[in-house]
Amino acid sequence: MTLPLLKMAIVGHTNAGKTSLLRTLLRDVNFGEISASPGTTTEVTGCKLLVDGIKAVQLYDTPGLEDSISLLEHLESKRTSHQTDGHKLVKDFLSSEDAAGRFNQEAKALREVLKVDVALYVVDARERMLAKYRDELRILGYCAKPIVPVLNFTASETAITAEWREQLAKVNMHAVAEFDTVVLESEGERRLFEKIRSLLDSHRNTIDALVKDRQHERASIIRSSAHTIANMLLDAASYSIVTEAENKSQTDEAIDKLKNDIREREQQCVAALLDLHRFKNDDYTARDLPLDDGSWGEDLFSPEAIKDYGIKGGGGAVAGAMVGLTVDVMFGGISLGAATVIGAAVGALVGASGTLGKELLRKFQGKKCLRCDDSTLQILAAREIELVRALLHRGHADIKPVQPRTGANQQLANEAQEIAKLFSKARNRPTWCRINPDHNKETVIMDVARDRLLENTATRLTEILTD
Amino acid sequence: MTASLAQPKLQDRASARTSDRLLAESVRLYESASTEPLDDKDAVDAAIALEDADFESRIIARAESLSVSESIRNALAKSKRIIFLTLCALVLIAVIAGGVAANAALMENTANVFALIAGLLGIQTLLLFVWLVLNILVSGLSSRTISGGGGLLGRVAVFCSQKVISILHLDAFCVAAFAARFRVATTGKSGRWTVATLTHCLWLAINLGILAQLAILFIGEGYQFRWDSTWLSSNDTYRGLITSLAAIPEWAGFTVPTAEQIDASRVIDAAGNIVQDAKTREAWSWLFFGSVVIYGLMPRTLLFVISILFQRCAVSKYRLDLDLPEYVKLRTRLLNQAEITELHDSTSAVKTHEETGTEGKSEIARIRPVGKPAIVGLEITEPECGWPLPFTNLVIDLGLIDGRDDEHRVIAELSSSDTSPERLLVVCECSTTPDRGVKRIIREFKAAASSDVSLVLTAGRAKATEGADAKALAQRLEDWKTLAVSVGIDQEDVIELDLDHLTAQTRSQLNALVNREDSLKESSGALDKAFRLIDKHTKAWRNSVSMREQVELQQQVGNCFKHSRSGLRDLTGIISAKFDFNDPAALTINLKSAAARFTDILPPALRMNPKWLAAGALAGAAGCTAAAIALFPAAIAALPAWSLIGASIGAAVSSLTSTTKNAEVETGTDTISLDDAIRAAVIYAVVLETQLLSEAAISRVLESTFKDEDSPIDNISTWLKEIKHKVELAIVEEMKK
Repeated sequence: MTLPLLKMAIVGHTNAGKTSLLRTLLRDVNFGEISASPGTTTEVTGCKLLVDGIKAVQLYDTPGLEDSISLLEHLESKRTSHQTDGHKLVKDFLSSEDAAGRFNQEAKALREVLKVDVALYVVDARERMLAKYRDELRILGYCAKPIVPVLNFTASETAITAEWREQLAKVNMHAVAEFDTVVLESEGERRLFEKIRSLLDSHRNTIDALVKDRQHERASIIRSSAHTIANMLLDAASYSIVTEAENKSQTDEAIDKLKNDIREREQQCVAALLDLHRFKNDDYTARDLPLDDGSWGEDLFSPEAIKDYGIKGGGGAVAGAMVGLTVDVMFGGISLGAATVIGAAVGALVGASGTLGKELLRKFQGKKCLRCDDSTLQILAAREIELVRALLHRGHADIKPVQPRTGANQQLANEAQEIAKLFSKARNRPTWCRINPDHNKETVIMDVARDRLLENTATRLTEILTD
Repeated sequence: MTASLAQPKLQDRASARTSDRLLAESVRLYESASTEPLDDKDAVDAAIALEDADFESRIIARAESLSVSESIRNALAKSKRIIFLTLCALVLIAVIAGGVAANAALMENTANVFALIAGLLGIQTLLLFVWLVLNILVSGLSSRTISGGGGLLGRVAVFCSQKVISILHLDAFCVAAFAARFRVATTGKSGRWTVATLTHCLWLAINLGILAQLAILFIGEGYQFRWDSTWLSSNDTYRGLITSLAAIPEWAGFTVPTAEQIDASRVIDAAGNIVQDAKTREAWSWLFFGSVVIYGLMPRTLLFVISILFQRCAVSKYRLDLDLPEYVKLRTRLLNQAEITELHDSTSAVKTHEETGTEGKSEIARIRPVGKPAIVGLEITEPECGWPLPFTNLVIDLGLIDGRDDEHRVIAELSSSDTSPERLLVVCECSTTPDRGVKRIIREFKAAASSDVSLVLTAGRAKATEGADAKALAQRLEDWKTLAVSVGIDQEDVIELDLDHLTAQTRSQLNALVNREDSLKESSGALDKAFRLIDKHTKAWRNSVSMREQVELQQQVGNCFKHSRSGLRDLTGIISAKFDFNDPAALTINLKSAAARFTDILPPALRMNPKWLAAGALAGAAGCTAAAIALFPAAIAALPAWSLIGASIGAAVSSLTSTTKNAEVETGTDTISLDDAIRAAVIYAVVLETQLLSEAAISRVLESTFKDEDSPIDNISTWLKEIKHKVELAIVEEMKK
């Protein structure tokens, strides 16, 4: 595959977020130096965007334009007649001494603009369109290159996007992109590329390939999130602790341990999801996510959690320490859950794993088995689905703060119920659980049925998360 | 793992890529199982260095460059051997099982033809059909095959491999290697074909076992073959069946029984024994042997070959699942486009000659009379309180400016004005970035105004935002301060004000800046300081004080109020550029008007009191001298003898007090009494403290402070303390109004 290399320069007023835009496009949080102070980038830096590992776009980060008013004045003072075109003015300026002197920064940026196919003009949409920005645009206009204004920080409440569009239209800038570099949002990025494409037909294929690559990347992240959630749910569903039926203190201990282990497992999952979505703690704001300082504020094992997610509790009468848990008590060798257990046992015993044999044996030895109940699984599923949705839609203007919840979301509850149901097979498979202390590593990673279950759940979750 | 059965063969010829992927997959599984992350910096670098390589290739490159890759390769080789040996053992078991089955079918010397056929071929043919149905007719369900009916053998294989791993106590590398082989062999279509290969391979072995046992039995034992029927008397049906069964073996060259021989095999003699010649028996035996070859061995061999081909094909199509969380996390790192090419401009060597903040002092400021303060809004949105700012009628409004034309206008206005503004207030939006352009403009304004500049930062809009980043705002404020310093504005002249939300505090701050009506809070410290100064100085003095000492004291007192930008607004109106220390006549006139200015402020009650009148006049004349010296330091060099100035002050004072008989200040002398000196200094301090109030208010303060204070001062410190207390009370009273 050969694609014509697309060269883009990122220009703009100082501190408008040029390097941030580049980082976002690169998906590399460590590129360049960023600070809130002006003039952080003083040299032109270049980097590549790859499509399928092949270099498709060359990006240049330029120092900020700081004193466009006097630069424009300077340029126009050199204008010998009305016929002198802007392009020549810029060229003459770049070879003049002033370009090395007081307009050094501006000269570096302009020199890049002359070299590239398109320039992205980054704007802090929270500010008004001041005369200096108009002057910047005029100078850039002299360079005679396509320019796409990129309105940054559009997710901010103080952003005056409409006003900017109006003002830009007045200077004949109509292909304006909105792109918040803080809250990465795939839709905004795609539109940005489309705007570039509208101005650069010669690079249509490159941009199309890039857009496709980005779509693929997003799908991949969704799928990966689904995998992460499925793994966590499987661990929670298959986690069980066996205690002596009569030993009260041992049971209490086991209840605490079970709850803590599952809470911890959920936290791992949340951390992994945040990581997958390249979510950094410093760009966290309360309205972005339903989280409270990186974790779910509400305890998993609380009646409120069940109520909040509109989940119909299985037991109804469960309260106190047993909220969200279930126990199989033995009566003369037959457990309360005997019907389901034995039903599943036939299949499992025929199968090769034989784990259920042990399980049954335990039950016949006067022990009881603690595990989280279906409502807990549903809450886990609902919460994580909600989290991934929030992560995926960060930056959409219409996103409402997820807290406080106004009422149970019936669709979410149904989805959670459906997902939790998929794990009924895992209930009697303590060896499938990676948090279980007595699991065998080899059986966990080499169990076809387990893989299949994970795969199916991940597929379904991907569907749920995609729409 | 089942696929691994075919893996040994596959490895030799299949593309090397599959083995690479296998390695990558093993590494992934190893990493996900291990608790500590691997040190993969070098490996990642190696992967990034690849030119034009896709994500998968880079994952593989990373896996290959990891330090654990050698151990994992060994583990993969080991797992291959284990699988091969397990496979051999299974094949051997299958061969034996086939032999046992053949033996069981030929338990007796007289064998029933149909029972024998069913025993040798029945089950396997049935299962073959099941397999065909599952794989061809229901191929849509193929992905489930492995756990479905056809997968029984597959499950056995999984179980075996699990047992092998736990029996052999294999290390984490081997576990990962097994798991990876298992994944490669069971993902997608390869799972189905792996199971098929295994199944057909084992049935092939079983058939070989059967054939071997049949051959042994037929060689070593004499068998008779018969058939019979209770209901069907005619031989035709059976003959037909057997002939059609025999057709293919016969075509393949096996001897098969003729029609007569078939018929004869039903005939039983009187003793119940079958009458069969050796030829018939041989023909029957070859039919059975041939049937197993044709109907058992041949299809299984064929299917085995087909399966293995498909399996290999499927395995070679195996791709890493790049959507797995572990890989997605690697994506940014490996596909890192961070090939950063630092482009040093040819010009970058030239250091931007940044004008530093010392400028402005070097240029000779045009000396103009000082006028009202001026205010200008630089690139700001009109604040909610409106523009011009309320309560600023005492300032020159230069408007809100944005752009070149505005800049030129303001500079022109500032430099063409007859007076230089007492102070230029530049209002900027704190949330915007202080850039070089802003810096240039402020610098130009400062030069044009030739006066001090205060930077007023309004942050209303940003602060009003819910969840505004306080840290970022603080950073901006720092940036502005840096800018201020670089253009020669003192740190304390950078003031943060919320012009959008005018609170009482903002108002008073604003007024203090512009109108100076409410600097009480700020300056009360100054009053304190001034009083301490007076206390200190006068204690050291004797009864008679020279004018010079008095002027110096008042100058220092004046300095205490510098912070509140006293500027001696009213006094400066008197001190003109013409203030000439060398011309006694003019000096006296000037000082006289200054003294008069002060005595005018005195309330009638005090003006009637000669003591206070004299003190007021002295305060005015000496204060004016002090201010003049401070304002025109250059003039000091040309100062005449102090006696002359002192005499002029004395003359100015006496001219005002001479109407009163009890004047205590002697005309023309340059010495004054300590009492007068203290009173004058105190009046001066109080006037400075209250200078932002209206004149009536100042008078009221002076009246309530000094009206009962005409007895001689005994203890200076106590007296000063009392006075200070009274002043403060009076000011508070005044503020309430």
